[in-house]
Amino acid sequence: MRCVYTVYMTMHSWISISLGDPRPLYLQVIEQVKRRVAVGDLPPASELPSIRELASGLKVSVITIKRAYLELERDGVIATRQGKGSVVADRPGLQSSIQEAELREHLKQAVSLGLLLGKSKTEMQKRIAEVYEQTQKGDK
Amino acid sequence: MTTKLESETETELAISLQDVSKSYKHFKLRNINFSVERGTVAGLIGPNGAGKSTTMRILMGLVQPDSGTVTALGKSISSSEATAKQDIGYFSDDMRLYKPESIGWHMQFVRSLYPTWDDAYATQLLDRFGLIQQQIVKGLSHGQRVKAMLLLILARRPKLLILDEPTNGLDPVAKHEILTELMRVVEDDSRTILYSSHNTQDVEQISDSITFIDRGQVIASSNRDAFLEKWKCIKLHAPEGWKAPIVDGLRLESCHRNLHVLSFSQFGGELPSELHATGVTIESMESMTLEEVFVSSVLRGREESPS
Amino acid sequence: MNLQAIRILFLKDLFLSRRHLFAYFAGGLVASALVCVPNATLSFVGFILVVTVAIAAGIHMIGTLLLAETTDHTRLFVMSLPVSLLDYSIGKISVVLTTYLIPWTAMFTSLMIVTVVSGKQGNAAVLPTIFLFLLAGFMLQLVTAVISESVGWTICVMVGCNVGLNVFLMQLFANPEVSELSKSNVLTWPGVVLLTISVELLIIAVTLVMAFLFQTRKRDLI
Repeated sequence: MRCVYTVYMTMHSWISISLGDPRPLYLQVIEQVKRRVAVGDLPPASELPSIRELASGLKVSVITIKRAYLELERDGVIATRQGKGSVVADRPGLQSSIQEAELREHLKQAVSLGLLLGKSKTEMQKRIAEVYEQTQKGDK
Repeated sequence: MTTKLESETETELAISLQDVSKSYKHFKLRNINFSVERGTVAGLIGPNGAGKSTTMRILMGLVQPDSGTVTALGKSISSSEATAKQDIGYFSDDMRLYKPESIGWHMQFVRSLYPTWDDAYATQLLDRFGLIQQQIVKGLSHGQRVKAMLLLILARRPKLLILDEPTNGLDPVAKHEILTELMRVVEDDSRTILYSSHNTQDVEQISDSITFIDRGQVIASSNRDAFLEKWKCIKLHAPEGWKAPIVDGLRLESCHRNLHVLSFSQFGGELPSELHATGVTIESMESMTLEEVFVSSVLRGREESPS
Repeated sequence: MNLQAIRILFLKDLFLSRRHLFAYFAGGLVASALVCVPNATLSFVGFILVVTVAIAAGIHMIGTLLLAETTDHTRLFVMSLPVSLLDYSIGKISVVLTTYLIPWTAMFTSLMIVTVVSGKQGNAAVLPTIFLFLLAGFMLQLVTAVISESVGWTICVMVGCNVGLNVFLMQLFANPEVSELSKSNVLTWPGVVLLTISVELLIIAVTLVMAFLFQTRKRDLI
């Protein structure tokens, strides 16, 4: 299993990706940026590195970063100013909306897998409840 | 395999090969259609003997194709055309420098032929690659020799880099040093890299587009993430005597008793209904690594046209 | 055709072969000096050495400057630079010829000077026939190397030229006009000498053109 991490230090924070992670690289970048915004490491209106700079810094293809930035913009997390690069979006509730979206995404993946394995809604709800109890107990 | 030639003008393409063919005694390069946009990194992956080196040599005018047209940076390259090579940097694993001479001598020699040579950058590269000008080529290790040759290419800031297996046989540190410098090239959106390897891991990281080549033919072309999204590995339990349904893109990779492992290259959100219908229990569905996609593509290509 | 590129390639090869070139140049002068020694045995040894230096210089320069570039893959390095095949060919053939002509000229000139000074003027007509034979032999090896890109074939031709030289010398001095001339104090140009020199010059010219044509017509450099 390869675990090759590359880290890029921005002015405010850091973004890292791992080649050992089987998920597409652009998804990792999106997740990383969203996480940094969600925890406040990348404040609203702060500057993001240019697409080529970030590609070079993380040693990944330009097309990966382009796609990540496009989706981040589509999701309202960043805004791209013509000729001036990208910044973190400056809108209220951004952090909490990202956190909520992340939760929904994880649940969506779980539900998709459940559907694939042929589980019904009730069975899924039962499993979610079980995992919730176990996780809570484990935290205590 | 589609190209973007219809929608793009020739000047947008750093590299263009159209219907290129070349025959040797025991090997044929057949109808290669391949293009690379300016400002991108294109990876060419293929097993040994697939035709990667031949394709790159044809691009550089070192070998003349039997048919087809070849352009690099909008100019047609042939051995009579030297000016086009002014903006191109070519590296091949079997290229050699003059053993009795030093790195510094080679730098002076190359510098005399390139007005774009950047002395300051060359000095920086010596430092980054851990090389010394006075070192004699004969005494260099494989990794040092590769880095010296790449230095001679990078220091003159070519618009197009054609690199034939540059990371072959290199230790991870040397690979890292080289990839870092190549990515610096990418920061300039007018510069293009074509980079080949038989190792997917060397290529997948920095390539905008990845092309698989095997037995003289292009078998697949896309970008890394698209490959990973479209290709899935399906593990399922099937009853005795079960045979995989004939679905476009579905291939049996292996089976052990009633556990079957299939690869599916056309995943668009759902598995083919034919699978569920044949009474199987799907155990898991996972993404494949680019290496697995590559091996499966090659084997599929060979099954479809055994030669 | 890029004169600047040709000049750079020419000087590059000259620089790469500097040590061998110096050795053959010095060796050639020593051999020539030995020929002039009054002792007949030493003088004969000197003559053998002159021929040896001429042949060795030829095969060595062809080997290191021309054939080695193919086997060592340094030609791949050079052709990745902004030089056309024409530039490469002109530069290569002219430098290989030049590196051979340096010791060849040194020996020929020094022996001619000694001949004239010593008073055996007749030899001044015989020496060119011998030296031009050596040069013609070298040109045959050069064109073989260019066409075949093979050390084996080039050595075959070299061996052939070596045997040919001995036969040639035998035949030459068996001719009464030539044998008289080599002992004479008067410089004359008998028909057989003029004919021999003409044939040698023709061979040199034809092989030079052939070498050049074959080199510039190569389609696949690897």
